[in-house]
Amino acid sequence: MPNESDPLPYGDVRSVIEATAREAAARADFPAAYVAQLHAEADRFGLRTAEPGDIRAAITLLEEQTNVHASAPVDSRNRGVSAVKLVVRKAIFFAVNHLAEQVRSMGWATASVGRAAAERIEQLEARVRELEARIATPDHDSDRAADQSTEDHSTADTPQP
Amino acid sequence: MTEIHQFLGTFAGKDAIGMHTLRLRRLLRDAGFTSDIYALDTHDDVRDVALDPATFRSRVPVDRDAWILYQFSIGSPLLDLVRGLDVPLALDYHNITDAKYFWRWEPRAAAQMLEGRRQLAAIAPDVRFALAVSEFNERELVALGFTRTAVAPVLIDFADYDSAPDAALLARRRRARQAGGTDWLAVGRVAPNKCLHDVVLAFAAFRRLHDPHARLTLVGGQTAGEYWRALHELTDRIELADAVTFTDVVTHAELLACYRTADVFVCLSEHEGFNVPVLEAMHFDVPVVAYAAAALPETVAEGGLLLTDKDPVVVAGAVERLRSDAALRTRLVDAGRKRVEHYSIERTGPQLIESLTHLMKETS
Repeated sequence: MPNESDPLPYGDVRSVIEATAREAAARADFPAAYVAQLHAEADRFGLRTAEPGDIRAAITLLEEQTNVHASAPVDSRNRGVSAVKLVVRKAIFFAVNHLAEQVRSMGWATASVGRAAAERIEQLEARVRELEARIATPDHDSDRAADQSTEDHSTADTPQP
Repeated sequence: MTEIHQFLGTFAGKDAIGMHTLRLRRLLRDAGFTSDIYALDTHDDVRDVALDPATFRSRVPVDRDAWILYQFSIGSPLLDLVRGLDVPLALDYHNITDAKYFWRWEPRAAAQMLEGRRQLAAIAPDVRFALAVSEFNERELVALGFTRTAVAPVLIDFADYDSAPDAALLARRRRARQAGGTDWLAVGRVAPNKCLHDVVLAFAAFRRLHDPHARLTLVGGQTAGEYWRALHELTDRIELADAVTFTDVVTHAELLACYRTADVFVCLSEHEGFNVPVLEAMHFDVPVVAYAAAALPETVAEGGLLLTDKDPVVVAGAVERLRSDAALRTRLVDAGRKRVEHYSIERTGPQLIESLTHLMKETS
């Protein structure tokens, strides 16, 4: 992250560049869709450096990695080697693609488990935060008394076996 | 006679730390010290220079007045071996990349980085003193409990860059330049912390907004295969594959050809302990645009345009400003030459030897 505590040289130039970028983005001929695509790509790479505890970033990354494909690169400095690789790739595509499809299915299934777990964890975290906030309030005791009274009441109302 | 021997985990003659180690050995020998280099993993180009650490005690008996200067940049079992040698130990700290940049791309490398951080913290009490190649690195050392530290920059011999560039590549790149278009250059390992994806995205914005004929050359070998593949896929997705060249590892002469045919050098790295390539670009009068993170602000200083926002449109705007504003370009190039002078080995070499000898005397 930038060292903003140290004064950086050419601050005036930087300010003009940033202002010009903002102005450009507001113009009618600005390629907004393309720039949005660039920002989305930046976000995709950003997922890789998200905090280890960022479960949503982990799931998005898993989903991205699930898109395995069966086309191995055939690049080579030697044109002949590249041609041979291409022939081999075509010859075994049916088998490799069969495996790739199963890996994709497994990946999506794993991602769905991750999403479900994330939902539950986030719900629990929200509940914990709510309870912590209630405990921290000064009139927590009176809340507790009210809760107790409600519980007593509901217990009394519940038909006993 | 006092001996100062350098130890390092991986020794490669072409990387910044390897070259620094070789130059320091020369300076130490010139200053009258006996000095050798011991490395655990040695690349072919320096195999005849490096010694096996296991032979240290047979070469340097206990009664000798010897010191070990450990070139620290990543976790290595070598450090444990060094600690067992019972020799006064000093560090030369080049920084350890933050593992967060690697663990989702190359977990094995991330584990080495975490181990390096652990080793660095653990060794602080046993180290007589530590040199840091930048103030940024020194701050990290002080935070970890190192009490005696000094800043001594990476040794760069800019005379090495005055040799002949690769003629064939130079001719090819010059031919491409005749068709017009700005030549962007980025140099460094293709590693996630270097954020080359941000360079590619900024370049894409530049082509769309300012110069549709621009070209980008990314010079450097891969250190994370998955990241390398992701960058290639990115250039395909945003339809830039024809405009971006990944050179992989290049020879020194090829590197010179790239610098000699660049219009702008862009570095959007988020984690650097120093960064030699920005100074190389300055040496070749190539204006620098860099992201103000880690040690880059102190290395670049007035010699380049430092940005605090690396939004593709902002970076593209910065390069466009350099392209269209000759006065600013001249100002940056002139300031860049001063930075090169500041970091020249004629200046930093004697300073390093002086710091080293002073700290050795103080901690003996």
